[in-house]
Amino acid sequence: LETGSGEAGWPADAAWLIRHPIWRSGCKFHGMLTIILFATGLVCFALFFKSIDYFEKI
Amino acid sequence: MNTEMIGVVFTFLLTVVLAYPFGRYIAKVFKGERTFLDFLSPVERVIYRICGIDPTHKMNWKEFLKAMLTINLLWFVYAFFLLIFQGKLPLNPDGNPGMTPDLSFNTAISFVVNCNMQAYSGETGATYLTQMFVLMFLQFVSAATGIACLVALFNGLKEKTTKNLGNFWDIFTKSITRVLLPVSLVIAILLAFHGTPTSYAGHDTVIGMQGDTVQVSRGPAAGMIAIKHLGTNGGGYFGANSAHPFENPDYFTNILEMVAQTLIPVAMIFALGFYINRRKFANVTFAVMTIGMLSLLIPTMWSEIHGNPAIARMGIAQPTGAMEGKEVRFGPASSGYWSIVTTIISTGSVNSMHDSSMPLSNLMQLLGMMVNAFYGGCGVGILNYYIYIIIAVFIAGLMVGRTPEFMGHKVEAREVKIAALITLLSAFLIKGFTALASYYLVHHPNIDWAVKPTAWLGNPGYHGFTEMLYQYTSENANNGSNLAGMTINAVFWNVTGGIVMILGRYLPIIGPLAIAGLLAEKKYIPESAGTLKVDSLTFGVMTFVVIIIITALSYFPPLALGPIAEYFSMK
Repeated sequence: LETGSGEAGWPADAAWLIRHPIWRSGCKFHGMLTIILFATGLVCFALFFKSIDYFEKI
Repeated sequence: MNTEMIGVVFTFLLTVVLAYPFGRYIAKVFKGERTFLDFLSPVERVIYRICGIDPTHKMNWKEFLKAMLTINLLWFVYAFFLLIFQGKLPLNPDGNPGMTPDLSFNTAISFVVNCNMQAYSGETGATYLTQMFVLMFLQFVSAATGIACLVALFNGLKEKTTKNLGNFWDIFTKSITRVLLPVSLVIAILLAFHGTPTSYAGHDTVIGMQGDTVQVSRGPAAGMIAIKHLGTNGGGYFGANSAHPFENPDYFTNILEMVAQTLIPVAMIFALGFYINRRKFANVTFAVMTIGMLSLLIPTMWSEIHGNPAIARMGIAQPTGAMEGKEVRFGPASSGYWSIVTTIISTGSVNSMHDSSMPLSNLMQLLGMMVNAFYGGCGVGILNYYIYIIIAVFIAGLMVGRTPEFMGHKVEAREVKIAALITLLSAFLIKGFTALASYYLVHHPNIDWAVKPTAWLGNPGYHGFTEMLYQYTSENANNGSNLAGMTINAVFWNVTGGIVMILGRYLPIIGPLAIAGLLAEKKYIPESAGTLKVDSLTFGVMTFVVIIIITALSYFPPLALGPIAEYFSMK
């Protein structure tokens, strides 16, 4: 994985992210993208469970 | 044109006439009173026994929400992987491939959350297995989730002081067996008799009048189209949704589908009155929502019937109104009515292409989704309206200098904070992600992605901005319609859209139920001469004004950059 494109005005990490090959993977099965998106869904649900306690104590 | 107008008025009146007794029936079901479908009780008992459910177990609001989230998480996992591997699974006579991970992520969330945004076309993007056992299955259970959460709110309002909001599993199961399944069955049979396919055969080969060979997709469509509307889901079997002649064959099915999608949202308002024995409060709620609906519908129908001014300037007469993107079978008035109904109640199905609607119509459609509480989606519409009520109660309390109360319970800082957070969340998601998409489009138009940002939009200028704004507004409202000129099957749109849909679904359910639960646990204060009467016309007007102010403050800037600018540019 290449990091830090050196694009002016962008932090290196952000530039690395938007140029990452994962965004070009729309046409075929991509294991890494599957894991990331599945984890994203799980994190969202974890946030919802957590929000129940947050709303009780807000 | 007069015939079209009569058709629209008839459709709305028929909806209300059917919704009133249906609302009474729904209230009876969830109160546990006798109904004509009690013979289904043994079926429900078998379900409880298999799943190890104790339907008499009382749940407080936290238990209720955790049960709801747990089963929804399970459906997300189930849908995500089945859609990815559908190409290798049975019931795939046309050999359709599995979905890409990003498309599967978007589609799984979309159907779990009752949004039904479709970045795929049903003919080639899904198999019979996933159409029936993933997508149609989720259309039932996501609608039942919304109904169950609303009934929990009813339970919170009904009792003077209680910790019991009902049993999620019991309410959820009965929502399917007593409400969604029986009515869907009737609608599906009517659709099948009017020409909607109900077949497991693969696509048919047809030779057209010009001698072209055309592959025509079929499949078990009627059942899915029935629940697609009844459950305010909106996800069509075919890519063109209810503009497809198989999905909506004639004017009868057009009326049937319009009534079906409005039936439960309107019936739930009446059910509220019957359930908590406050019929006047339900009537005021219905009046506020209907006035809201009419204030969006009338400008839409006016602009569609009067045609496109750009075409009129070319000297071309438009006796049938603005017909671009519309079916001749239905015409502009009926299509305008459908477009407003489908956006205010979060169905998101279409019988015309909203991308071709006039700018004023696009503005009204966007407002319908931004408010998301004029009838609203299956169950969740009244939950959204409840948030506006809490804010209205708070403001009314400030105006008269009393501690705000709602139905005998003091509304304090905690409840108002939750209501404010939920209200701000929608504006943050819609405007934040539209800004992000606009940034990439302007500053990185040719970035090396599978679908470059330059290829996203179907139109330049104001309308292009409206396409992006509409997309995130629809996803946040769990509506599912879109301006079809856009290319949304791209990693960026699939991923960001999925995140907007999931956040836009569960937090606006958790917030109102938390408020309902917290209020219900408080000590009941008997009504006195100084109590704010929430079933009065004055409070109805107050709530309506609050809705207008919040929506205008939150969304006027992006609306001015999109449909409003486009409207004035066409003058």
